[in-house]
Amino acid sequence: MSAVVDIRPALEVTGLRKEYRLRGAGGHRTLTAVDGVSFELRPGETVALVGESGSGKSTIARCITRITDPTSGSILVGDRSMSSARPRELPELYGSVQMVFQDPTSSLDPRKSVRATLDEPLRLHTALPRAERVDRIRELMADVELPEHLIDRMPRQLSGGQRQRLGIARALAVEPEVILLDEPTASLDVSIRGQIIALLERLQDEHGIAYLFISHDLEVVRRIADRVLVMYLGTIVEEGPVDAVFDSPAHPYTRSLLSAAPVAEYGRTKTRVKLAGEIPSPIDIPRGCRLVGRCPIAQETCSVASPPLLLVSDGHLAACPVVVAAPGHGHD
Amino acid sequence: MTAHVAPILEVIGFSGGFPDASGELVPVLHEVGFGIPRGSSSAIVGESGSGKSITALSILGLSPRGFRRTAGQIRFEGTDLLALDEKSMRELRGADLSIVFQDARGALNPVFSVGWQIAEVCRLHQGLTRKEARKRAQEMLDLVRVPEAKRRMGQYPHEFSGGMAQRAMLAMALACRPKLLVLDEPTTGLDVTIQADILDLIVELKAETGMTTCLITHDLGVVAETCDHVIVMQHGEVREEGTCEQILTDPRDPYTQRLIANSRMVAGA
Repeated sequence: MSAVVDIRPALEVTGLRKEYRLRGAGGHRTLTAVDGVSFELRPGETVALVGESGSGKSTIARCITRITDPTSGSILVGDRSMSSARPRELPELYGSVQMVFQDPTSSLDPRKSVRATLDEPLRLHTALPRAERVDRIRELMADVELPEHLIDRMPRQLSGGQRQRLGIARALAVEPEVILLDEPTASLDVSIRGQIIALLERLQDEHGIAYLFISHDLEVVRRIADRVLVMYLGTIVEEGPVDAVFDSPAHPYTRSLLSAAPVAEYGRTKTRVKLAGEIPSPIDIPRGCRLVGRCPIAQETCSVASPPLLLVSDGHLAACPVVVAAPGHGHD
Repeated sequence: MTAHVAPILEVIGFSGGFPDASGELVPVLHEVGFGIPRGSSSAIVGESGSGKSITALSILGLSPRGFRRTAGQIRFEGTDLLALDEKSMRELRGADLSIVFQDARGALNPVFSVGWQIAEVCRLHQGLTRKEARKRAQEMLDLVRVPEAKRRMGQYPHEFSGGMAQRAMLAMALACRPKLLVLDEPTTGLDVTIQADILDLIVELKAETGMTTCLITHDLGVVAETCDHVIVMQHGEVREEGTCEQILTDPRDPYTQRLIANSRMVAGA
């Protein structure tokens, strides 16, 4: 959605921080998985969170759903605070935020049929009597294109794609405003991947749900997302409309990530932006810019202070003063 | 087709399957046939259930438990590998054929140092003394660009990142200078920048050693960027075989066409 609408965001995350205290031979140490992340998700919008292992993208989803408690920061779903909700208030909030997991096999109860899996959220979150719940289950199955005759099948009797459809139907059952999708297509074959993405797009059009789409699959992100947030070691290093970020990435990390992604096209000449070494441990995060030591264009000033997000173009921000301050950057 | 180059490996009419509960054979490979040109970077590409992995493992004589061949040959430099006894096959595996698996950290033994494991391969297959084998292992780690190879030799698999562990597996696979290296989804599960580094390394090592490689993958993007000869499989059958250029720019088989379309999600890309 490109139109700027002045309405309350469906999800608003401000200054989110998640630390883990580690006990070891050297005394207490702190692992910072998410370090002051802020973003918002407007109704009906898809924002993708991309980054590699250890970037903190899944931790963000786990904090939003309170699977783990954030160390600090605020999470608002509509006008209600998810971050300060007491445990007994959470079930009601799950009526607004739902999650779809990467591996539908382990996120579904193996002893519950399709019918029982979909009946549970309806029982907990709606006042529908039993007979109407069955109608609603059939409706949900039709919505995710699961054939009706599968209603009494167990998860193991379904294909990988059908299981992921069931996971989506379960999230849809409570009519949430926001669905967090954590690598929903990562364990699927490419032909099924396309079907699931098409399904998610149709459901969003019909129900106006906002998606926070966590993925390392840049091909899928480019197709489904309106905006993208690029994460590295617990912080957002670049954000903006998906075409702006993919066509003119500004941050050296984004450039490296995008240039590394293989494309199924013959004879494409590829200029890789290479970073030195490997991603550092989130226990000893470098001072200043986190990419210092790996970055091909780092300057002395980069190790002094952590750079803020700077404006590249309308809605497109990058945390790299070296690139953003340079004349004629980006827009070619 | 690269028909003018004699294939280093030929799979001819290879069929087989697994027995079900009643002992009846359920076929999974149907007269699979293709050639790997000598010196090529070949790829067998397919989705789950295509039979690509069983075919690749069979080349190494490592077909999964229960698999029964019903017909066919796998000829490596003219010798039918399926007719060899276990001992000859093991010798060939150490000398001419090698494989790198997907999960490198799972494939390494957690209780031995990485250097020891590479040295052990050199000692067993090349008859080197312990000292020579250690020296060779360190050379191999240098070859696969593991920084500080000497220090890394004494480390254990859990001290290696996924990318570094895959480099160590490559070092082990290359220690015997194989003529044909099979790579079974070597970068699946690795982050995209690490994947790109490993693929670059494989391309460089191939150029340095002159070996033939056969990549097993589900990812046409990886194929497009690293391979020159492609075999497309689906449901235990070869759908199409050709040069990378022909397969990607002029696919004849409807399944190949769909696979390419599904791999490029953005219209017009």
